Amino acid sequence: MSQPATDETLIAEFATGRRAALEELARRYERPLLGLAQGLLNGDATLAQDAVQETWVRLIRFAGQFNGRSRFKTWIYRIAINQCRTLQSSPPREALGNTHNASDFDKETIAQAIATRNHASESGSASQNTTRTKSIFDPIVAREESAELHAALDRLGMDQRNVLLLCYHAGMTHPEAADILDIPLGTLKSRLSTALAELRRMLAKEDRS
Amino acid sequence: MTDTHDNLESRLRDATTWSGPSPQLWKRALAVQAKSSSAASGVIAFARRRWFPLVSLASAACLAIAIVGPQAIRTGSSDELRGIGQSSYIYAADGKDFPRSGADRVLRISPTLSPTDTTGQYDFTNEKHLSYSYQNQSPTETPLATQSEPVFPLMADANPYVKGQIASPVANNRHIIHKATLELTTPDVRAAFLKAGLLLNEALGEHVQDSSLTGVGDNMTGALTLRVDASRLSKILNDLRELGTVVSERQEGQDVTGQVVDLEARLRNERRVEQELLELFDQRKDTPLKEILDLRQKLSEVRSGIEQMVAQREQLSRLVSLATVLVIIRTGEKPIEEPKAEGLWHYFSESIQHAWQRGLRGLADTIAALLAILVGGLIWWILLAIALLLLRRYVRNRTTRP
Repeated sequence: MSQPATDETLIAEFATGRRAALEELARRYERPLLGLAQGLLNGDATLAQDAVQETWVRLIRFAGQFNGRSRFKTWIYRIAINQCRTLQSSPPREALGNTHNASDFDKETIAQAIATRNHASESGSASQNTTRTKSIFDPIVAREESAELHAALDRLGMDQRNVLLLCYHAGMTHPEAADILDIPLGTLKSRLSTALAELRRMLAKEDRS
Repeated sequence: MTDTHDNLESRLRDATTWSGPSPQLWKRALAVQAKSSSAASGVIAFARRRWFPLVSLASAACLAIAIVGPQAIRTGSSDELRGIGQSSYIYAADGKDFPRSGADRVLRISPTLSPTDTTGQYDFTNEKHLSYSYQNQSPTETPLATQSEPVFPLMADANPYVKGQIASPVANNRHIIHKATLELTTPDVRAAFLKAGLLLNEALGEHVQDSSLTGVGDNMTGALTLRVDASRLSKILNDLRELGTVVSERQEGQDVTGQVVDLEARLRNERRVEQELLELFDQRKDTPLKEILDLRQKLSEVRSGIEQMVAQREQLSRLVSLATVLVIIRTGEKPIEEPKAEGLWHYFSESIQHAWQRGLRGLADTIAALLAILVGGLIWWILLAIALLLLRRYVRNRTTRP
């Protein structure tokens, strides 16, 4: 069984004009990049797609200049993060309906769902009725929680938010994250610790309120 | 606590996970890149065409001609202006105060007009670069003189007659009496009056025919009637113009060629008669006394006529050889000063007015200075903006590329 081509090999092949190499890279990285971009862009899927598309445009344009001094993964993530920063600094666009906004839902329904779930978890009962309630309201609760998380992340500083999201991004190791953010590993860890504590504090405060 | 910790981590992982299918953005990016590449390559291919340098060169040449051309054409047209006129009035008003008359009163000339053509008309309406503006006589009016008076000696900057480069081909065989009137204003009338007299060259027979200096102070007026050699008329006029500000100038020429020719013919005839009478006188020695006396009387009349005609010819010759220039010199009119109001209120209002004017002037100066910086340095601003843009792009590319 042949060894799969490395990212660096694929980008080199694409630079020579092999389109299938780019397709393979996209298969490996497009969805992770979209996920990270969405996280960095406060859950806005449309903006995330813009950022990733621009990342691909830059990758295509500068593929020939990739010199292999750093890993391909580091390179492409740096491009993506920079694109997200650019989009964040640009004027806000009108929401296109993909963002999670609690106001879109019936607030009474959400409150009822959360209360029901909390009650169930406190009593420890797992009755049929409770299970059915959870299955109905779970997507709504998940959206509400996601909105809360993004609101809390948004209140964090950009550096802390980037560290936090990158470190918990699928398959990302701490050294890789430090390399992408171009900071020492120790700094990354300390920032991560501080950011986590801050995020927890903010979320707890939200829950209490 | 652990559960909460795990829950948060899981939520963070969820926050950076794309739940939907891959939207194949790389394909869109490829299309975008292909579009921009084709546009750029189109521009490069256009610039690489064989005819592109030629077209660029031709465009640059057309642009240069468009910028420089009109000035050259205007200058050239003034050199083309030659011809014959009847009389002219000249005003040293440099255009803006020139009493422009209607188009029907401005004579027009064809550039191809021959020097002997007397029906040509002059067009000075568009000749902004001329030092003086001209107002010629209407063609419907009776000319002050015959057709052989050159107009262009009055033209200070564009006329070859003034520069002495071209002798008038028409005036050579003609007898013209030149008259010019020049009105000047100058602060020092007396000095200008004396200088005008010193311009004459006595060796050529030039002299001051008449002069007067009247009035005192600002009302002083000097008038001189100069007789100058006709060939030096243009130079003398130019020198006179230097003595002050020309308020008005008029020049006219009277062609007396016909009178001279007529006089010469009559003179030749009278001399022939005189000769015949003398021969008759010699042949009739035995003629009765009465007839001899009659003959003598007739001879005397003829000789008297001859003398009158010779005197007339000499007079005409003097008039033709010496042009008459009437110079009027006076001080410029001063504006009448309004009587100043006095009093404390007037002092305050004047002070406030001055302060307000100073403020306005300062504001105008500031705006003008800012505009000058903005407009004058426009190229630098553009270059700076381009440099900043390039720097921004470079920094951004540096951050996106390891």
